[in-house]
Amino acid sequence: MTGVRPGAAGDRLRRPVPVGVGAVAAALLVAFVAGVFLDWPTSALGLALTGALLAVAVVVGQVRGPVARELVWPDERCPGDAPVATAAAAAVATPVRRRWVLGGLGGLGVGALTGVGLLAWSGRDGGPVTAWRRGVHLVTAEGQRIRAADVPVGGFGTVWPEGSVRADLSAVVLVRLATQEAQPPTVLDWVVGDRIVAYSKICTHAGCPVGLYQEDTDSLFCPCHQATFDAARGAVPTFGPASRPLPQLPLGVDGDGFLVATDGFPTPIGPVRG
Amino acid sequence: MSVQEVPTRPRWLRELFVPTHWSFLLGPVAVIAFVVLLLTGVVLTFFYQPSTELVEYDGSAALYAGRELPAAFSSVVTIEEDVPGGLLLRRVHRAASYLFVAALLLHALRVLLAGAFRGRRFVNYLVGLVLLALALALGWTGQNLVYDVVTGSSVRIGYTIAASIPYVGTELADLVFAGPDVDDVVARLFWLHVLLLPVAFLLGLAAHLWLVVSHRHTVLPRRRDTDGRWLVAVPTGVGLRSRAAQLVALVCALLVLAATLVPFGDVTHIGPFLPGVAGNDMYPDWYLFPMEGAILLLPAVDVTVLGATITNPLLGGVLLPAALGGAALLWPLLEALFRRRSPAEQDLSEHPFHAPVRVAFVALLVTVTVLLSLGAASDVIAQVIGAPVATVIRVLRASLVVAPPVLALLAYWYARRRSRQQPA
Ligand code: HEM
Ligand code: FES
Repeated sequence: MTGVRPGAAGDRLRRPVPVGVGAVAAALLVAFVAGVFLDWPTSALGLALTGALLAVAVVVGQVRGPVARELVWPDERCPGDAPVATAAAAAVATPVRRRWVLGGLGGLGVGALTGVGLLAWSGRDGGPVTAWRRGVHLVTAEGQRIRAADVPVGGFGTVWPEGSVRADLSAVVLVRLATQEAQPPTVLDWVVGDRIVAYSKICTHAGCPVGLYQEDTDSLFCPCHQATFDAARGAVPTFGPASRPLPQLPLGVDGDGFLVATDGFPTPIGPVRG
Repeated sequence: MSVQEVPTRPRWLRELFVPTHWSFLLGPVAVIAFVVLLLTGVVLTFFYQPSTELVEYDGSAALYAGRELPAAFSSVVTIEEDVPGGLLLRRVHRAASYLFVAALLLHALRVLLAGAFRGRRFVNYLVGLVLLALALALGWTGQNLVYDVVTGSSVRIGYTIAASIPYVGTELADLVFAGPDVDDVVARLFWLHVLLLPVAFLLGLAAHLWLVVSHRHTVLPRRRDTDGRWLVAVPTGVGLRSRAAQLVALVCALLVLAATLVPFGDVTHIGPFLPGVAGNDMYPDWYLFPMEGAILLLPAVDVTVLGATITNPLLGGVLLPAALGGAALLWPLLEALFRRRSPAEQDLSEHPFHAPVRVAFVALLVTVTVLLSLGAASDVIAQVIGAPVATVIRVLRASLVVAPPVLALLAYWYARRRSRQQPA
């Protein structure tokens, strides 16, 4: 038998609690509370509390005794406990429990099916609705209309439908192509001056805002998962996890030279749904 | 001496807190972190405002003085700058969330490697997997409460993944997220984060711990005695409360120290979410990297079968995580079929080397998870090594196919060699 004799009386302090450490813990704790009220800097608060907790750890750690002992297994564990193997055998086959489990699983299954049915029955909508319509002007975040002639090479980052600035799902990137004229599959009727194109800014992969325009390759780039779209060719994906082009906004110029949508988006914007 | 002399300390404590091996303490550490999260979370709730309405910020942060901010973000800035001890409080909450998830993951790994899922303990293994999923959900909903730039994209991605599920996805996503508009989501996430999920986790935790006590903790084998019987280590119960209290104090001290030294989740550098704005370095918290990496690394897919459109977010955000979780869930059943042991033997905490196939399986899971996580950081990796992002992604894609089986085989071979050297 290799049992280690434990202290007969259970938990007992091995030596008197170091009063000093206890006092330090109390003092630091008081300092922390005072510090919160006196608006001390975070570092002072944090260090006081850390110190208090460490001192507490030292104090409560004073009780020592043999933590572990060795037993012959599976014959003996602590008195009063059933031997392990018996407990195991009893737990394995209880018919009542099995019935409960099966009943529970069945109930869950029925519930899940009902839920799925209800969800599927509740009908689908046609995808997110944007504020783009025929005749809606493109405006900057400050609400200013945009003259075709003023669009710089590269582009404007984000533009919005007039009256719905910062309507999240209506965000559009306006681009003046840097290296080439727009080509099919871009819809050329929707291009202004051969080079100005507008696409939905909502990435067709997972919906992040397509953030970057790279002039040297005329590509639009999404920072979330590196999807890359060819802005000169209808924003078809050229690299990364997006499978569909960014929808192209039908673009035109009104009588005063301002950019205007000639229609809504031809296809739903944003990611594909299941 | 006889076994009868050993004092019977509270049995529940001897089963829940077993300091005979450090890896047995991972579960308790996760519980401590959870309690810290509950306490700090309740205090945060006093000051946090779950609203996206624009308000004028009138606190003392010079950066935002006089600016219009979403109320949620504004309240977080106020917590940091103007609530006494608020910065420390936020950082401890976040640091504790990291420790919480990390300890849970390592705890799950320990249970897998030591075969503590066998026999009657399988039920509790399932409860544990549910708890792990709840923990990830708690973390995701929490980090999005801040309503910074990352929140906008993070919520969109979450919505897309939910909506990518065939037939019911859109309805499911609308149910959880109240629609694709980021504005509508925050109130939902708030109630999920501070009420529904914590209560669900607490109930699950209670069940988990109750089952640990009633099934009994596995025991650590030391060596064979001369008759060939096992000698095992069990806690005596002496000084156990003291050690447990010491662990609590040390974990708390670690969290506070980390929060003092590291500006976890600082908002002053990121800025609030505004529609149309994207940052260049937007990352979720580390434990979501595998999922983020999965939808980044998997190729673009767009096929329709039976009216269901299968896309990259479905594959990477739903099916791949489900496959990993499902594999972990089914593994004990496979073992029960092919590697039978007596009920008594299942109470031994096995040395991993003695189950080489299991080691190979774990190596496979871990390799896939790590590679996917690297995928989420591929632009950072590209910057560090000075290669184009596209190249990094291609290399990671190839590794995802090649590395897991290779490393699994290596792990199998190594474990078998070790177990031959030291037979059970
Ligand atoms: C148990 C697991 C929990 C995890 C993993 C978790 C995680 C998180 C995370 C990562 C954040 C963002 C932290 C930040 O940037 O400051 C957060 C914020 C928050 N959490 Fe939790 N949390 C948990 C429990 C709770 C509970 C129980 C409550 C309340 C009863 C709570 C209330 C809050 C509040 C109000 C915020 C927003 C305040 C802020 O960001 O400063 N949390 N949580
Ligand atoms: S959301 Fe744009 S690449 Fe994923």
